[in-house]
Amino acid sequence: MRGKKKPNVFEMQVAPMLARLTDQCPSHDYAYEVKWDGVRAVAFIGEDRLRLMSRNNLDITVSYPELSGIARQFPGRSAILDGEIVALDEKALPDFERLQHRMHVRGADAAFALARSIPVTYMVFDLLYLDGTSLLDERYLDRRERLFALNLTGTCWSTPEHFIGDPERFIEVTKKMGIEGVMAKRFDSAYAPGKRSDAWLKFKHVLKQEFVIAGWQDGQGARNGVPGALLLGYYDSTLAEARRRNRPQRLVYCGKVGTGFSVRALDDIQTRLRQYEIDANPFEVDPPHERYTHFARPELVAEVQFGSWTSTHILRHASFQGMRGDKAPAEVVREA
Amino acid sequence: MARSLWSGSISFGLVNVPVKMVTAVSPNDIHFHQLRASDGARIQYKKIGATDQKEVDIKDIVKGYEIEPNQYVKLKPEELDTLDPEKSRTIDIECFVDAKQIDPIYFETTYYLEPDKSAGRAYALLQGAMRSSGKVGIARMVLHNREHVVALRGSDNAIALSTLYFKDEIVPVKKLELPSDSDKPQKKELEIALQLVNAISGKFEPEKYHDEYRNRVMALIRQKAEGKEVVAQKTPVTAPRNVVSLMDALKASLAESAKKRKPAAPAARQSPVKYKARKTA
Repeated sequence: MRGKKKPNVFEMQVAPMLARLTDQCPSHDYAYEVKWDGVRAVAFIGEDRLRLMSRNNLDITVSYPELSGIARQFPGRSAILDGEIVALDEKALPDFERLQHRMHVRGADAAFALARSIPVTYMVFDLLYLDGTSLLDERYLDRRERLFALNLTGTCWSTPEHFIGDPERFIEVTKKMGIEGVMAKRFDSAYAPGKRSDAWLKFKHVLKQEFVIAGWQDGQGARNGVPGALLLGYYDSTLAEARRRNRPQRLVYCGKVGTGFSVRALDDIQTRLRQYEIDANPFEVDPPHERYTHFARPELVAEVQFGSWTSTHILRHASFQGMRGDKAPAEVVREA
Repeated sequence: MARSLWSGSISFGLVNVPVKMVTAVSPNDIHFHQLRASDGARIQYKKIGATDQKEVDIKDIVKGYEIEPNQYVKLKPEELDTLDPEKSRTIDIECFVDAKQIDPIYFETTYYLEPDKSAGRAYALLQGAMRSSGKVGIARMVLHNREHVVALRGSDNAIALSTLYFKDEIVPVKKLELPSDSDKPQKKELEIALQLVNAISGKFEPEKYHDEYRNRVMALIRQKAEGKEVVAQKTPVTAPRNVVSLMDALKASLAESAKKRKPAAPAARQSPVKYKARKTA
């Protein structure tokens, strides 16, 4: 690399590394981190500037002006960081619903105003490039050491520690505190952009994942004019898997969600769903026939918390958490 | 292609041409923001009541029409909604007229129409017919809840649609102070003037003209940006929420449980204490 011009971070792309869902945390060779309930963001920093990219490779910098100052912690340097943007509640716990007010804002003025009322925090957990040198092949623990050596401290960003020891205690304590879940990362694992493997595992205290919205049921009474419930589904394989096996992705119906919405969210969802309304059923198998049901092209993704799966693969006690503009519908598959 | 602003179909006689409407002109105005000179903070507007200077919530604002000084008729959005024209997705061509017959003063805003996937042939036919006849289609359509009279014409290979002003929106020339009959030019004078006009006649070449003022302003902006004469608005966070408190609580809870059982210890310390791995497992 010597003598070669250092790559410009703003011309680079790094897809965030993904984690596999597990119901058993490994007890050896793994470090544990808090699983942050927010939106994933990769930060590209150089020339005192910051660019934040979402999981689906959209530039989301303008939505979070309070994070721009992190660039000033790298005078004359460049870096690529991985982390999660969260909105903390009064108990300093991440609150995905609060973050909803920030996630969909694309105007600079609106974002500035909201940065004051609902500030976010960037939880930095990995360091991928520093001064043009790739750290992707370094061990997890070494990357963490380098990250902490940077001493990143600010009002709106933080580098939370990882823990090593008994996972059972960590799981119990985080659950009691109301934290969403636990990440387990293998000590010696390299950073594999865009890949999902056992190097990173996620353990959730509550069942929660994204689903595709592929229809709605008209609301009655107080919900007149907005959806009473959303029809949810997931794909039976990811786009890449489907291509490999040379067969189309199939959309599987998995139930409805009718609670957890704010009035504003419902209004917004209704407006967006209307433009995708279609006559044909987009699901592989017809959902149970009910009155006032509309179908929609599977273009929108919602985050839904639920109690359990029924034996017929339908969600039980589903509750809406928010919209996910950062996930492509075609990537929504059942996690477990 | 550009984002469509409207979709529907052109209808004339028994023919229907499904189309999308897209922007045809994008003015190059320079857009400035207002900043406080001292620190570069953006200027925001608040809506306040004139009588008590109190901020008014958007949902408490209605429209008022001033019928005479300080006398208003209040109108609620619902009341106005009932007056909206019937929603329609068609551009109904009523007749074709000679292009020269329309004074350009009537043209308001111009858009392009794009054919829907299957409508290419019908679109090309209408476009070609209008171009070779030099005719313009006059039609009605509903756009943004308002009924408009529009003119359709062939422009290169596309159909352009211009919204037209209504007759009573045009200021009548009668209201101007114009030369009287006694000022009418003599035949001889007119001939001389015509010769002059012919002498400097040419073709309209729009590419020859540029907004020189805009170019000068943009050059100044670029020069200042390169010289790093750039102000950034200060991050407006007033009440940072303490994340350290969550991690502290977590550590405290883990320490508490450690008294009872085998510990899970933090491997890294939050600054200002420097990171030091404590591999306790």
